[in-house]
Amino acid sequence: MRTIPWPLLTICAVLASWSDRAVAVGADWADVRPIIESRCLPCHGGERVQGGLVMTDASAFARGGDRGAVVDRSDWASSLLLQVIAYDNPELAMPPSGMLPETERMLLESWVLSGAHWPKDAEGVLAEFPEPSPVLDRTSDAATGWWSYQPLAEPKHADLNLASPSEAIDLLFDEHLSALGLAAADEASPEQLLRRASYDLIGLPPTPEETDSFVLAWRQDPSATWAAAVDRLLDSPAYGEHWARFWLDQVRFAETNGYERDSTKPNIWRYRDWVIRALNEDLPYDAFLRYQLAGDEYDTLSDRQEYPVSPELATGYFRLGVWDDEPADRIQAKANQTADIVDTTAQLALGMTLGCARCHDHKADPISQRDYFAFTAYFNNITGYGDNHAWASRPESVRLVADGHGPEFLSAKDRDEKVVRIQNELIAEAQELALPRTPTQTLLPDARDGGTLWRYWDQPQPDGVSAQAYDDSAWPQGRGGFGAASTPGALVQSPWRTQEISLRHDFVLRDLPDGLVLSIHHDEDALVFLNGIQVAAFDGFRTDYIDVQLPSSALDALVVGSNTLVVLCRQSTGGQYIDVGLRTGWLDSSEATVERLRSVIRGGSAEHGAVRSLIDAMDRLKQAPVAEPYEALVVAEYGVQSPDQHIHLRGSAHAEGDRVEPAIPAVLAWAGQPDLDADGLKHSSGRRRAIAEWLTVNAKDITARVLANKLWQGHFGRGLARSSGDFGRLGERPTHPELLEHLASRVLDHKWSLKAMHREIMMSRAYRMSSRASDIALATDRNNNQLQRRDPRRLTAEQYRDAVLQVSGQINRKMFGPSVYPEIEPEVLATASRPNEAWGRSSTDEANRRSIYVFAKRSLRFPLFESFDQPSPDSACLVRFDTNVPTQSLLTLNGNFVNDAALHFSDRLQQEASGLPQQIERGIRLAFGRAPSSEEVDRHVDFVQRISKDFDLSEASALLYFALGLLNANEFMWID
Amino acid sequence: MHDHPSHFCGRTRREFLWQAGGGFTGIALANLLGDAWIADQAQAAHGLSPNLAADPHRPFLTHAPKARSVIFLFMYGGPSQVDTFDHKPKLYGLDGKTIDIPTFGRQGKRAGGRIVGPKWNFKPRGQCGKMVSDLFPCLGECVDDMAFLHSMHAESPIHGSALLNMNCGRITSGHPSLGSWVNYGLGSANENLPGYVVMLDETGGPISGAKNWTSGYMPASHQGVQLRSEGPPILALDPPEHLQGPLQRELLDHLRTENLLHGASRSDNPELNARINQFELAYRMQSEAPEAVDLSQERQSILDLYGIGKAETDPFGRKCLMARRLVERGVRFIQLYSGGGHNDDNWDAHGDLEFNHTRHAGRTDRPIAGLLKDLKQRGLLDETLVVWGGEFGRQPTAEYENQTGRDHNSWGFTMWMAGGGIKGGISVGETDELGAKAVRDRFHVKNLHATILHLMGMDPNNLTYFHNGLDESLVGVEGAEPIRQVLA
Repeated sequence: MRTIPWPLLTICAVLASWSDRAVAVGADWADVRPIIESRCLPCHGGERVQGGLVMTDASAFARGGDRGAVVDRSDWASSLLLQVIAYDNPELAMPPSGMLPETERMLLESWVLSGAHWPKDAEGVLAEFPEPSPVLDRTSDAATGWWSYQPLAEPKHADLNLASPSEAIDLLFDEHLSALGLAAADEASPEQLLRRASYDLIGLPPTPEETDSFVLAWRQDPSATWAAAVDRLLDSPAYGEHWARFWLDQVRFAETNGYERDSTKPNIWRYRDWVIRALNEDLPYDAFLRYQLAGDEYDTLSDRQEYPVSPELATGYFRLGVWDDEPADRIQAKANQTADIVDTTAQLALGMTLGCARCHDHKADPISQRDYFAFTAYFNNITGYGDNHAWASRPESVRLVADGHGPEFLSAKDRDEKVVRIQNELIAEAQELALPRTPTQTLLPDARDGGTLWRYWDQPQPDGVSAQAYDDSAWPQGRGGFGAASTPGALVQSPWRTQEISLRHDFVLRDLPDGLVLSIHHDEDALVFLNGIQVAAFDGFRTDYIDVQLPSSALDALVVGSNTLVVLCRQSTGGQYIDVGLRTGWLDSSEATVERLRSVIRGGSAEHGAVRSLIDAMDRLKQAPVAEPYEALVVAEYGVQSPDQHIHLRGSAHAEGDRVEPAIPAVLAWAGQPDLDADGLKHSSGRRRAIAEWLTVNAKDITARVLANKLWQGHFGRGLARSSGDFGRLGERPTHPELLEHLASRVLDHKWSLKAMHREIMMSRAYRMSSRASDIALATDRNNNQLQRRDPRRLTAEQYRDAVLQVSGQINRKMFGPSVYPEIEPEVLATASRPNEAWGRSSTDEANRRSIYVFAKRSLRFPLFESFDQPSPDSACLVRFDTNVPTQSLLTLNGNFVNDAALHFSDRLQQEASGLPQQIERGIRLAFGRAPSSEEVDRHVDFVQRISKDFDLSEASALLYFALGLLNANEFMWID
Repeated sequence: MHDHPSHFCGRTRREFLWQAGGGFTGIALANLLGDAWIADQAQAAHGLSPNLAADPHRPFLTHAPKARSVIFLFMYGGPSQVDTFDHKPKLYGLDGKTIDIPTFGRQGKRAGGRIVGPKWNFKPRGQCGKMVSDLFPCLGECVDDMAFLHSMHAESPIHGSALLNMNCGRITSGHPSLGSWVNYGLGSANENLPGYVVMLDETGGPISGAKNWTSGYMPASHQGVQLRSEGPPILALDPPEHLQGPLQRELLDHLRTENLLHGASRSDNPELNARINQFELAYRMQSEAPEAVDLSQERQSILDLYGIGKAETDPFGRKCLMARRLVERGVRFIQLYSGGGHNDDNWDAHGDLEFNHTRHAGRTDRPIAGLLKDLKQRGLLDETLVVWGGEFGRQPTAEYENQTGRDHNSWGFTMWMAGGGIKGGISVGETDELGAKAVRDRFHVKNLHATILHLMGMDPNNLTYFHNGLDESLVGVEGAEPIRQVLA
C-alpha cells in the first residue's frame, strides 16, 4: 500500500478536487504523451535504455523492464509507475533529475488509474525502437573456438616424446625462436643462476657460502650441480613461504574485513599457514584447489585420505574478502559477497573474467549473464560473513579445527597456566599502580533493579538482527527478564515461552566509559552484541545472575550518542529465562583487572612499559596455536538445500530475473556438467565439491593450462600468456602457444605436482638464459615478447624486505603462527581513525620475521609493501604492476627500516671480516651473491675512506654508508 | 563498449614510448610519481593500452581544461544542510513536532520523527542574496563565487561506505579514488612534488584511513600522498640524523657511479636508468617539498586572512594556505579533511548539533573564506576548482528522543563548488521543503565526479582503466553527465 509522503499532503489537498475529476474522467493519451516523450523517453527508448525498460510504443510499454511491468492491471493504484513518480523511495524515484511538476504527476496518475490506455497504432509510437547494437554472437565459432576454451591440443611435434622433459621445453622454445630468426641467449653465469633460482624458489638471496660451494661444484659438473641446487631449494621450508605470496595475491588475502571497523578476521593466519604447508608438502594442485573450495565436504567422506594438511582449514578461502558489517543494503551486500567469491574463483582457477557478465552478457567473451548466475548457484549457499553467530542446525564459520601439527604446540592446559601466571604478575603491577576507584553508573538495569524496557522478538532470529541499524520498530516491548516463572533464580516480568528470543535496547552515552560490566542470567546459550560487535558469549544455562567484565573490544564498539545492545538467547528444554543489565565500572576479578590495565595503556603512553609487555606476552599466548583443535575461520553453508538462484538483472539483487539451475558456462559444456552429489553431507549442499571435482577432473585441461601459465610467470616474471587472469578475448594471446599446451599436459603427467613442474622448467636451457639481449633481438623484439633472453626482474616488496633482513643478519626464520607487527612510522599511523589502536606491537625479534607473516590490514597497509607494489587486497591480483617512483627511493634512502638494517649490516661486516677491503668484499658477496672485482673493492674503499676523512668519522662508522649504498643499489634490487 | 584493439597501432607499449618520447627514461624523468606507466597502465592486465592519446603526458585530455587543480574540502562526518546552506524556513516552526517523513540513516529506515528546527538563522549574502546560515559569516562573503548543489544524493548513509562512495565512486572498496583518476588521466605537472596530496585533521584520519585516497587496482604510484602540516611533510622526506647534507650527497654520488657501472652492460633495461634518476628526484624533493609548505614565507596579512595564529582556526588555516601554495606549484589534486577520528571530532552530529557544528564551522569558516579570497586576488581561482562537502548530509528530524542531533542522510544534501569553470552566485537542485531528500534536479555523487573531470579537461565517460576484463571508470558503466547548470 502506497503511503503519501508528507510534502505531498499539501499538494494533494489543494488539488484534490481536480484530481477527483481527472480520475473519474481519465487523462487522455494526448495529455500524457508529451510528458512521456519529454520525461521518460530520454532514458527509456530513443538512444538509451535504462533498467531494461523501453517506452517507445504500446507493446514495449506492456512488456515492462527489469523490475517487471510498469503498470499493474489487477490493481492500478499499485502500479510501479505511480510509485516511482511519487518519489516515496528515493532509490526508486523517477525521473532521476527531480520530481515531476504536480500537474504532470497528476495527469500521469489519472491516466494510469483509468487504465493506462496507450494506442497501438501510429499515434502511440513515440520513437523507432533502436536496433540492439551488434554484440558478440556467443555461439559463433569465433567466440566458442577461442583458444582458451579448448581442450589441450595434441602435440604436433613427434620428437617431444623422445626428448627428456626439459629438452622438450627447449625443443619447442628453440623452434619458436628460430622461426623468427632469433637465437636464445647464452647461459647466465653460475652466480647469476644461483641468485635467480634462490629468489625464484625461496624468495631470499643465496648466502656467500652457498654461492661459493655452488660455483666450485659447477666447475666439475654443471648440470648435476644445478639439479642439486634446485632440489635443495625446493626442499627448503622457505619455498612455501615464497610461493604462498603469489597465491595470497590471487585470493586477495587480508586479515581484516575493511570498511568502517576493519575488524580482524579470527585466526585467518591459519589459512596462510595452510597454504605454506600445502606448498611445502607438494600437495598436488588438484587437491590444493579442491580443499580450498570444498575441504569441509571432502573431510566428511569416510574414505579419508592421508592429508599433510587439514582440508577444512583450506576453506578459509571463502572468508578472505572484504565485508561491510554495516551495509546500506543488506541483500545487495550479501549478493556482492557471493559475487566476489564467484569472480575470484573463476579468475584464479579458469583464467576467466566471469565478473564482467554479472550485470549483462559479457561484451567480449561468450559468457552470458545466465552463465554467470548458473555458476553462482554453486556458491550461493555459503553463509554470509556476518551470519556466523546465529544458531541454526549448521556449523558456524568459526570452528575448532585441528591442523595436524598439534604435537608441535603447547597444550591448552599449559597455555592457560602460563596465562594465569602472567595475570598474577599483572595483578601485582596493578596493586602498585593503585588504580583509583571509578564510579559505577547503571546504563541498563537488570530485573533486580526494576529491569530494562526491551524490544523483543520471540520467533527465530531474523537475519542481521545483531546490527545496530536493524529496524526493530515493529517488535513488541517488554520489561526484562523474560522467561517462565518456574526457572530458578528468575525474576520474570515478561513471558517468553518459545525456543529463541532476541532483545534489543538503544541507550545514549554522553561520555565513553573506561570499563563496562555486564550482568546476566540466561538459559542455555546467550550472545551479546554492542553496536553489532559480539562482546560476550555464554554457553549452558545458569540459575542466578553473574557479573562479567566486558573486553576492550566492547569499549571500542561504543560511541558517543546512541548505542545498541542486542542479546540473543535460546533454550531447548526446561524453563526459559534471559535478563541482562549493563553498568560502567570495574569488577574486582583478575580478568577485570587485566582489562582495566589494558584500558590504562590504550592511550599509548610510554610509562607503563612493564604492563604493556606483560599484556603483549599474554595476548601472544592466547593467540598462539595449541595442541588441541582450536579456532579457525572456515566455510559454512546454510544447510543441505541451496536456495533458488535467480538472474540478478543489471546485477541488482533486488531485480530477480529467471531462475537458473547450477551449471558451468555453456562455452565449456564440452567438459560435461558437474555431478551434484550430496551423499554423506549433513551440513552443506555438495555443490562446492561438485565444482571442485569438475575443475580438476572434467575441465582439467583448462585448469592445468591456467596453472602452467602461472608457473611460468613465477619463474620468468610473466606468463606465456601475459594476462594470467584473463585468457579471454580482452586478454593477451600466448606468445608461445605450443609450449603452453605442452607445459599444461606435463602438469597432468606429473599428477599436478608443482615441485615436479618447477624442476622441469628450471632444468631447461630456457630458464638458464642470460638477461643480455643480442643486437638483433633488441632491434626486432625490444619488449622481449619472444623471450629471446631472460627478463630482468625487480625484487618484489616482500623479497626486498626479506633480503634486507637477511643480509643485515637480522632475519628471524621462525615459521607460522599469528602475524607480526613491524614498526610503522607514527605519521602513517596518524592516518587511521583510531591511531592508538591501529597497529599491534611485536618484539624486535618477532618483527624481523619474513614478510609473509606481517599482519595484512586492509585500512592500514604496511608502507614499504604498499610503496613497492604489493597489490591492494580488495580484489584478486594475478599480475603485479611494478612502479618506479621517487617516494620509493625516499623510503630506502631515508627510511628507518633500511637505515637501521644498514647499521646492523655494517656491524655484521665488522664482525665477520677484518680489514676494510675484506669487509667490503663480504658485503658485496652477501648483497649481490657474487665476488667483487678488485677495482670494485678499491672504489668502495676509496668512498669509505673519503667520507671517513671528510666528515671526521671512524672507518667503522663510515662503513654504514657503504652498507646503506648496497641496500639501495640497482644490483641489489634487480635479478639478472 | 567496443572491442579493445589488440595492439596499439601495432606497437607494444614500450615501443610506443620509445618512439613517442625518445625513450622510456626521458618520460620517466619528466613525470615524477609515476606517469610513465600511464601509457603502460594495462600491461599488468593485457600488456597494451587502448587509450593512448597523442600526448603521453596527458593521455585523456579531450578538451581545454577550465581547472588546472582541484582542492576538495572534505567535511568528514556529514554537515547538516538545513543548518548551513539549504534554507528551509518551514522547519523553524515545526521544531519539536513529530511528523511522518521517511528517513534512512545509521538507525535504519524510519517513517517519521521529531523535527529539529535549524539552530541558526539565515541571512541573504553577497550580490546574489544567497541565504546562508550564521554558522558561516566569512564564507557568506564569498557566495557570489560559489555554486550550490542542493540536491546531492549518495548511495549509503553509513560513513564507511559513503566515504568510499564520495572518494572512489562506489560503496564497495577496491576502486581508485578521484585524485588517482585525475592524476592517471592528466599526469603530474610538477616533477618534484606528488600530483595528489591529502592533508588530514589533527585528530586522525577518516574511517577506513588510506582507503579514501587509494589508487585501488591502479599502480601504487597514483595513490594520494599524505602531506603533514607539522614536521617533515612527506614520509621519509627527512634524512636520518646521520645522513644530513653533503654526506647524503656523497652517498648518492657514489651510488650513482656504481649504478651506472652496473647498468653499462644492461642498457636494454630502461628501468635501471629510471631508478637512478628517481634518486635524484627524491633528493630534490627533500628541498622542494618543505619549501612548498613553508608558511614562513607568507606575509602577516595573508596569515591573518586564513586565521593562522588564532587557536581555533590555525590548524585548518595552515592546511588551506598550504593548499594554495601547492596549487601554485602545479599539484593537481589536494584533499583537505575537516574532522577526523570518530564522534564529535568530526561533523557527525548525532548528539548535540549546536556544539558540534559550532565547533567545526568555527574551525573552517575563516580559513576556507581566506582560501577563496586569496586564490581570487592572485588570479588563481579561475583555474582552481574548490569543492566543499561531506560524504552525506543530515536529516531534518532528531535521532534521539531528547537531543538536537541529526542522523545521517544520503537522500539529499548540499555541496558547493567554486572557481575554475564554475558559475558563481547560483544554486541548483532542491530538496523537499523540509530538506529531507532531493526532489528537483537531483545529482548523484557520480554527477559531481563527472563535473570535476569535465572541468579538468576530460570526458568522464571515456576516462577508463582496463582491469580484470573490464574498462573501469570512475563514473561506472552507466556513465554520468556533468552538472551543466553550474558550468560557467
